[in-house]
Amino acid sequence: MRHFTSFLANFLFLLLFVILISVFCHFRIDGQKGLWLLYSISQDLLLYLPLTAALGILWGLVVRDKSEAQLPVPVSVTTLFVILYILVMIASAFLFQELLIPKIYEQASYRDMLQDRKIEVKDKIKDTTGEKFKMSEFDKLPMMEARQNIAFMIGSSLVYFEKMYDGNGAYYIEGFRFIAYNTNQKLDYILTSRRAKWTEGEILTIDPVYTGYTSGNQISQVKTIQGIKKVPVSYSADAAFHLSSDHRVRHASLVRIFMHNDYIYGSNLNLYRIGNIVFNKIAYYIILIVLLVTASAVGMRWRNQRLVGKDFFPLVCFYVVTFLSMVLFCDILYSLANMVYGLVV
Amino acid sequence: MIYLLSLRKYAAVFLKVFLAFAGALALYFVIFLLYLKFRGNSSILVEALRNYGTMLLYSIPFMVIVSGFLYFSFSSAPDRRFLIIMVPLVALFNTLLLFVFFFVNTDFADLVKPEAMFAYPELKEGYITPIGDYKIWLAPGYSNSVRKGILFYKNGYFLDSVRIQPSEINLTSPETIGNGGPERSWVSFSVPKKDQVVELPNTSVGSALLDIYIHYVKRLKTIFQTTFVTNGLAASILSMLLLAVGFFAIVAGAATWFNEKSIFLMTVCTLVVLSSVMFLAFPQFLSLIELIKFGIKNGFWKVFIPSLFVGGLAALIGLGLIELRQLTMKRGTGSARG
Repeated sequence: MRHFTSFLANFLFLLLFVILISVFCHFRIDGQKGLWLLYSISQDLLLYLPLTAALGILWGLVVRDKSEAQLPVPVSVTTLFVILYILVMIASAFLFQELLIPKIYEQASYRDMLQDRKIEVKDKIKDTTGEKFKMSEFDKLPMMEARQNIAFMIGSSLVYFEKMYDGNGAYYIEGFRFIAYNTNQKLDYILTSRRAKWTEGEILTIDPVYTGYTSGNQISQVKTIQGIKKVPVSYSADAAFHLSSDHRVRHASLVRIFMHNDYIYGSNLNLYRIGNIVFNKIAYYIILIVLLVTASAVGMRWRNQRLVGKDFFPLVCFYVVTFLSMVLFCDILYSLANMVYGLVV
Repeated sequence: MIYLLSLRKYAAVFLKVFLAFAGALALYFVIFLLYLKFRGNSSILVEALRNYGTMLLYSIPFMVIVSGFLYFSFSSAPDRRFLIIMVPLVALFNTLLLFVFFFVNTDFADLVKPEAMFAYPELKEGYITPIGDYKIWLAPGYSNSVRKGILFYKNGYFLDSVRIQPSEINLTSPETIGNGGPERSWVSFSVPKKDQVVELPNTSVGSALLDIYIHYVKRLKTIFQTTFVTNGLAASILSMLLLAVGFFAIVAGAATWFNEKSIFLMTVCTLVVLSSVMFLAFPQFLSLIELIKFGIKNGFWKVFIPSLFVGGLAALIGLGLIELRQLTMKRGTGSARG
C-alpha cells in the first residue's frame, strides 16, 4: 500500500500545482467565473493528466521511502500496485473526458443562454405528457437548450429541423421538413410543418402541409392535414440532437457514440468533425497509456534508489530533469497525433 | 591501445546521446511538418527533414558536452593519469565534431504557426455533408439527375447545379422548401469549402522550451563564427582544439564528482543539469577570447594566444577538480563523497 499512497501523493501534489496555475490563469488573467472557470480548470486537468500521472508513478517508484530499508516490499506487490494505479488513472481520465467535461460544458452554455434571454427557470423542465400534449408546451421553448440546422436521413428520405429543443424527455422542433424518396430514388412526397414534437420514437407533426409528386417531378396534390400526422423514426432523438456535426460542436462523448451507432450508420451524415474529435480522444487515451507504461517501466528498472541526506542535489536534478523530459515526451506525442491527422485530412 | 579503445567507448556514448537528442528534437520535426502542410508548401517531407537534420547539426555542441559528462562520470576509471591522457583525446574527437557544426552554413527555420488549420471537406454522394452552417445533400448519381441535391440552410433548397471548386462550392436553387411546402424562387449560394481542424491541445511547455533552445543555438552559432572564422583555417582549428582541451578538462573534473551507480537515474539527471549549465557557459568562454582578441594585431596569434591562455586556465581548473577528487577518494572510506 505504501507505494500506492506515494504515487497518489505525488500525483495529487502535481495536480494541486496544475489547479493553482490554472485558477491563476483563468480567474485572474482571463476573468472567468462560475461554471466556465470550472470548465477551463477541468480541461487543464485533463490535458495535464498524462503528465502528472506519469510523473507521480515515476517519482513514487524511484525515490526510496525511508521505511523501505526496514520493511522492503516484494516486487510482485509493487507491480500489482503499478497496474492498479494505471487502471485508476485511465478510469479517471475516462470519467473526466466522457462524462464530466461535456456535462459541465452543456450546463455552462445553457446558463449563458438563459442569462442572455433574462429568463429564470424555477423548476427543471421535464416532459411527462408524451403523445397527448398541449400546444402550451411550446411556450417553454425559450427556456430550453437548442440546436440549429439539424439534418439526417432515414432510409432514402431526408429529415430537416430548423431548430431543435431539448425538453428533457421529449424534443421540440421548429421548421420541420420531411422529403421522402421512394426506392427508385424518385421524389415521392414532401411533408412540412412549423412545429413538431419528437417523442417515443415518433415525430408528431402539427398541421403539416403534404405535397405529393408523381414520377418524381410533377406535383400531383397539395393539401394541409389538420391535426397530427405521425412520422416514425428509428433513431433516438438524443443522437440527432448531440451528433449533428455542427462546426460549433466541441465535445462528443464516446459513451454517446457507442450508444447511437445506428444513427452513425443510418443517418448518412458526413460526421467528419465528430470523427476529428473522436480521433483526438482516442489519441489522448493512447498517449496516456504510453506515458504511464513508459514511466512505470523506467521506474521499475531503477526503483528504490538509495537516498542519503547528501544526495539532495541529485534528487532536485532528478525532479527537474524528469519533469522536463516528460513534458517534452508528452508534447511530442500530442504533436505527433496532430501531425498524423493534419497530414491526412 | 587502451586509449583508443576508450575513445571508441566514448564514440559509443556519443552515439547514444545523439539518438536521445534525435528523439527529443523530433518535436521540432513533427510540429514543423504540420505547419509546412498548412502553410501550403510543396515537398514538405524533404523540407522538414532538411531542417531537422540542420537542427541536429546545430545541437552538436550540446551533444558533445552531455556525452563528455556521461563518459567521464561512468565509463572511465577515476585514475588521474588516465584522465589526463583521455581529456585531450576526447577534446580532439569533439573538435572534429564541432567543426561540422562550424562549417554548416545552412540555416534552419523557426516555428511559425500558420493562422489556422483548415481542412477541405469532401462532398459524398448520398450523404449529408455539414460545412459551417450549411448542410449539403448530394443525390446518389447526382450528375445526371434533375434535382442534384438539397441544401439545408435555415430552409430547404432543391439544387439544380452544383459546382465544386477547390475552395468553395457554387450552388443554384430553383425551388425552396419552406414551412408551407415547396415554392419556386431562384437563389444562389457560394459556400466556403473550409472547415477548421480541431487540434489536440498540447502542454505548450515543450514548444516554449524548443523556442528558447532554437534561439540559443542560433546565437551560439553566430558567436562561434565571429570568434573563429576571421583568422584562417589553421589558426581556428588549433585554437578550437586548445579551447576544447580546457573546456573538457573542466567537464571531466566536474563529472568525476558524480559517479554513483547506486542512484544511477539521479546521477544521470544531475549530469544533464550540469551539462546544460556548461552549455549555457559556452558563450562566456568564447567572449573571453573575443575580448582578448581585440588588442592583438598579428593575424595568426590573434586567436591562438587568447585560446591558449583561456584554455590553459580552464585546463588547470579541470586538473584541480580531478586532483581534489583523488584526494577526497583516498581519505574517504566507503562513501565516495568524502
